[in-house]
Amino acid sequence: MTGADSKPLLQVEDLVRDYRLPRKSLFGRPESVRAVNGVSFSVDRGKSFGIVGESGCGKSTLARTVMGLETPVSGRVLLDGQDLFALPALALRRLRQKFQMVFQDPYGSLDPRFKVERVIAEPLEVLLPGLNRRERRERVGETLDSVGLKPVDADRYPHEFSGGQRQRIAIARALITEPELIVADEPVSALDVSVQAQVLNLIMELQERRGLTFLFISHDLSVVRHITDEVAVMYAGEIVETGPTHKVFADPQHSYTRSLIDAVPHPDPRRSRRLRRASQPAGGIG
Amino acid sequence: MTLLAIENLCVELDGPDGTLRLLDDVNLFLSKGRCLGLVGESGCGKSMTALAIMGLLPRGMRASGRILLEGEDLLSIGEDRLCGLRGRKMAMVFQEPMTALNPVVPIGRQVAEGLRLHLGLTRHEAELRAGKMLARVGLPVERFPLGLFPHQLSGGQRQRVVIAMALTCGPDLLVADEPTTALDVTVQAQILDLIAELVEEFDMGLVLITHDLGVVAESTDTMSVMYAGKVVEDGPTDEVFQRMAHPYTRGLFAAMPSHSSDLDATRKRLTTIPGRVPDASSRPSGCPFVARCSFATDQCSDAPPPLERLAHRHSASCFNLSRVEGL
Repeated sequence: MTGADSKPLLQVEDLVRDYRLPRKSLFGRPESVRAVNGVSFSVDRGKSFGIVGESGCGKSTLARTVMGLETPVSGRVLLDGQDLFALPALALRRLRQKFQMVFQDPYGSLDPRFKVERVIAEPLEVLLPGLNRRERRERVGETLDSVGLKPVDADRYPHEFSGGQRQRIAIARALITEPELIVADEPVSALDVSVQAQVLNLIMELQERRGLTFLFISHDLSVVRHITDEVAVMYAGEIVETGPTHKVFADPQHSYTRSLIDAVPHPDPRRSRRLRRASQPAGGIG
Repeated sequence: MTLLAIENLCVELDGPDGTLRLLDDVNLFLSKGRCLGLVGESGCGKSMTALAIMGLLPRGMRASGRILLEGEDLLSIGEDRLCGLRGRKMAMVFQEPMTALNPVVPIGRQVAEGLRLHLGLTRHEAELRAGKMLARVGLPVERFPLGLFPHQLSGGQRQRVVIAMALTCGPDLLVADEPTTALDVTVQAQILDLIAELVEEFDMGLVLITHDLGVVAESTDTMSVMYAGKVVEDGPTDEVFQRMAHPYTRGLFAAMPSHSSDLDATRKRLTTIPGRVPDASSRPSGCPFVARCSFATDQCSDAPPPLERLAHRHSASCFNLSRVEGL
């Protein structure tokens, strides 16, 4: 897969991450649960890769590990060929400029006491400490503009914005370091469908304009189907199926993938009507 | 037979800047054994309607109009009578099962509470019936003892407990406010199947509130699309989906990511509804959708469009119905 000239931007190799459970008795050995179990995939530059699965399947742990926020038990995460967990702390910090994260909850991920300018400019303080106030303000203004907000919005507080606008601010914060990879963990799950469409359009537009690479994590299959090139289906810490998105959705090979796809409600009343069907025994899943 | 009839329901709240109208002339009908879906974005008044039906509006809000449950007007009877009806005749399932359950009371006792209160059963009899109800919703006592606490259950199991609580006394009307929004898609399908089975088995009427058009399409007989405190389109679910007469209904539908697996559909720009739902304090005097509507004319800003009948039971409120449908 990996030619010499087109090396993937992100390579995840055989990643394993355990969480320790509370010990059952004072002198007992604490047990652990394997949240991510031998996951490997790679994402080419400029592509978007989706990870779908239900809560508890390990997709958020995977995202956090790819971001270097959690340390794996074994396995490697290579960004542009550099192993995140083999780098010295300072070099990792500098490398962080290249990958940023957007979280699910636009209410919880922005500090309510900070003005938008400070929220967005915060990554710069670490990565480009030499910037003076005017340059910083200019850069914040440009970034706000690129996510469809106004430069004057920099002087407002997060609570003055709606959920969709807050998610734009969170995206602006991720963009300000001019990263190559954005890890988005359920970025539109908290939004109404009309606002969700606006944010998805913004993500697709940014991807085309800036050649960004996305790792897109979601439980919403229709969203993933719409915006990703490749997809991996996770179940109980493992990838059970992966491939080009349209192929996986059109012809799922794994029974779990099929049950996930079948469970998505279809906005067409002629296709299925639950109440009519109810007299027959309900189709159990899993 | 009409189970629930809401006539000209208005809900108002006195604020520092005058009276706000949160619900504006809402009319809804539901027969026994049927399911009515309420859809719209957040802030459109769906949950407010549910709370008004249950008589649970927050303090300071005034409801006017009529809410008839089997002919009895819930807005004119007192709190005592309402207490007798809630849980007995009508029950509600909330979105977030963890907050709807008491974390320090075992599930058996929570499900039995309504039985003891409404039917005067002893603790033993009540818990016996609670156990049966829990088994019916898929939590048999052998595997899920009545002494379990909510935190020992998964989200889907908790929602089953909430459903069991709602159904113990055999209500005629079930109001479910986003019952599956917090759940995974496969669990969502199981819970919706369960609710549909129970609605048929107990011959109840169901008001299902959701923002997911897919859920509405699969689970409801009739639907009402709400926008800014008003019903802007309602009718039998298949007819509404077929015609989508109101621009807002169309907008909601178009904003959904496509369900086709075509490679061409990937990364196509989605249609958006610009702007957002106006607050109750800043609603325009004309059509509430005017600022976000691509069909809007001068007429739309002047006066609110009346609900116009399109077919036997299908209506929509828009001045430009012919232009919208001409597309």
